[in-house]
Amino acid sequence: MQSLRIAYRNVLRQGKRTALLGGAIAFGFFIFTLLNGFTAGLLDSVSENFADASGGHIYISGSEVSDLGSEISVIRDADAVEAALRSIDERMLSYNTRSSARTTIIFGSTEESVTLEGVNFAQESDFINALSFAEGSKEAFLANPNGILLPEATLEDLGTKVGESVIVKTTTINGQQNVGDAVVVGSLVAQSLFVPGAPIFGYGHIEMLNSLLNMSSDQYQTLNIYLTDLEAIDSATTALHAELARTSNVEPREESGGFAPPDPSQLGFGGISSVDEAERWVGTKFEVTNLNDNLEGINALVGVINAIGIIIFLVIIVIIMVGIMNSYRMVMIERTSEIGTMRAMGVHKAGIRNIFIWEALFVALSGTLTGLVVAFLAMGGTSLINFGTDGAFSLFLNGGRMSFDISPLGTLGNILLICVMSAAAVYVPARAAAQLQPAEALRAG
Amino acid sequence: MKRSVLTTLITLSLLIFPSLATAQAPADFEELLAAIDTNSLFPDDMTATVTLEEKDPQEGDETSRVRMFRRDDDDKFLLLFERPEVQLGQGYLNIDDGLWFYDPESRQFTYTSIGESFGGSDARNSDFQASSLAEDYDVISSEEGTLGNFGVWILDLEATNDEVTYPFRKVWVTKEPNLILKSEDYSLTERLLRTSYFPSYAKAGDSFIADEQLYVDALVENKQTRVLVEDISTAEIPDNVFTKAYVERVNR
Repeated sequence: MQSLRIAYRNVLRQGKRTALLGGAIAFGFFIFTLLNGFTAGLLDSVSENFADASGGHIYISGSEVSDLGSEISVIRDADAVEAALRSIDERMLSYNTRSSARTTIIFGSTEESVTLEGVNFAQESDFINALSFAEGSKEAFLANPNGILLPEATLEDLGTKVGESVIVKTTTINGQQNVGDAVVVGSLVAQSLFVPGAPIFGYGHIEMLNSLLNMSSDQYQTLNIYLTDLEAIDSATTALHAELARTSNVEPREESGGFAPPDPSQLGFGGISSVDEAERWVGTKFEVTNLNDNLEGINALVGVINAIGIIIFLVIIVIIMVGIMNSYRMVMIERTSEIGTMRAMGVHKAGIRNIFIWEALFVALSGTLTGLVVAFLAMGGTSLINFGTDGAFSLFLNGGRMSFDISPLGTLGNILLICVMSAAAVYVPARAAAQLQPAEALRAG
Repeated sequence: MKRSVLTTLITLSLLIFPSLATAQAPADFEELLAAIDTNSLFPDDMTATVTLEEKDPQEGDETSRVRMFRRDDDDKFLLLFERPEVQLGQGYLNIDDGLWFYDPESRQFTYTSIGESFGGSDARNSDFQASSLAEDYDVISSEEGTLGNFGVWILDLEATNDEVTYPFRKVWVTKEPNLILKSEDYSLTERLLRTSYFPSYAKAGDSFIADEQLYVDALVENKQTRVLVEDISTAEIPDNVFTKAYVERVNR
């Protein structure tokens, strides 16, 4: 306790030195915490945005082989799927069914390509609340079975506006040309997927889209699952895949993947494909993918940023250690007579050593805590800025704002690491100070 | 023979020999469809230069030139873009495992569909291969009529399976030879999607090809594509032309 009190007093006494050393530690810790919080928050935002756009965390799609040998994307027999869902019952929050079609929206002499997602709003009552309306209302959309929502920019390109009728042209699941009329009941603030060539999404009622695709109202193309815990994505996917594989044809997991969820309208990029006779199957063949499959690129990017952050952090630690070591060498020289006096008064060698170590720990702790507070303030301030939801980076934002995610355990671990490294850095000069002979120390003073 | 001479010959033959133009109703209109298919089938290889003149109110007017290679016996064809510069080297290759689009920039083949639009125009990929009406359609109704100076059969067709691009069609067919002069192509909901005109045919051996085609979009106002087929040759095409390797090599 005595060493602790003396160390604390010494730290306060050496204000400038403490401030400089602690400031360096604070700066390094601030940068690292901010970077970590940013990448974790970025991943959370991307995951959430992707999940919202895709309708879930895990996606099951199905395809059949037609009499003419073409692969068509449809799930007609839902029994196998719904039975498999029981294997992840406790991990599942909800599920929904969707259809999707690459369409051409025509208005007068203009046309635009839009991927229309057919949403079952009875299952996804929250989904419409997640959409950002530029014009129109969710009530108008829900009330009109032929209503569609299009991105604001698409309406501009088409030269049309909310309330107008448009023609929707697409191909059925079998590849036939089909056309229907729809009413634009709302426009959406566009969220860019930040992927060159990524489709523009619009939304409609699944019943309307199924009709265009020549599917009955109880059929769909993908079943999407929301989980209660994102950490369980991969294990839940594996369990679901295994359960489906017991009763049905399933694409092996390592061959799955692609733009999430598997976009039936992109099958073969331009329509249905034929299946070699030797590879044909009977019934529905399922494919199970998840959010992580489709965020591999983002995860890799975040991994790289995190790796850079760790390298920066390690470099900072090394600099801090070198700084502490040099500082306390000088401190030892400056306080030689003080050390001699303490030794002469009966303080043991261990006591002298511990005073130095405690001083370093105080500096490290105050520095990291200061850095943490500044990081929190910076994160809080930055997250108040609204960057808008229609920019190229809107995918990485949460409602137009940056979000940060700090792991308490991780932060505590980092603080402890810096403290331990600081103590390690000061150990050599501390031991040297402890080894000083009292008489020589007093003589030197 | 020059296109104009051939066209004149066909037109004249129908005028001078009205008995040919008013042939008796075929006992089976399915035979008529088969005759149309036979007339469009080239038993030997066929090569031609195809010019597409697209009028698009949104994108503006654009002219493309494509070199076409066809081997109907094997249901193969290759369409290689020669113009415009930005599309030079792009190609559509229809072989055993389906129709592939080649992009020389990415050097990748992408699977596409025979029913897809050709290069964004009103023509379809399927418009460049031999007709298969007998296999794909049943005749629902028929009547006699005229189209310009031609006596024609007007047939309403319904697809025999749900993978035919246009589920419903109405065709105006000359009585002799059996050639389509006009076609209205409908969606599954029986909405007119496009009207195609074939005012002129060229003959090579016993086969016919519409050397002038006009596709008028029925949904997008003022959008149409005119296709001209020239330099028709039935000389043998080397087998390797219908391979991905050839398409890639052409682009090197």
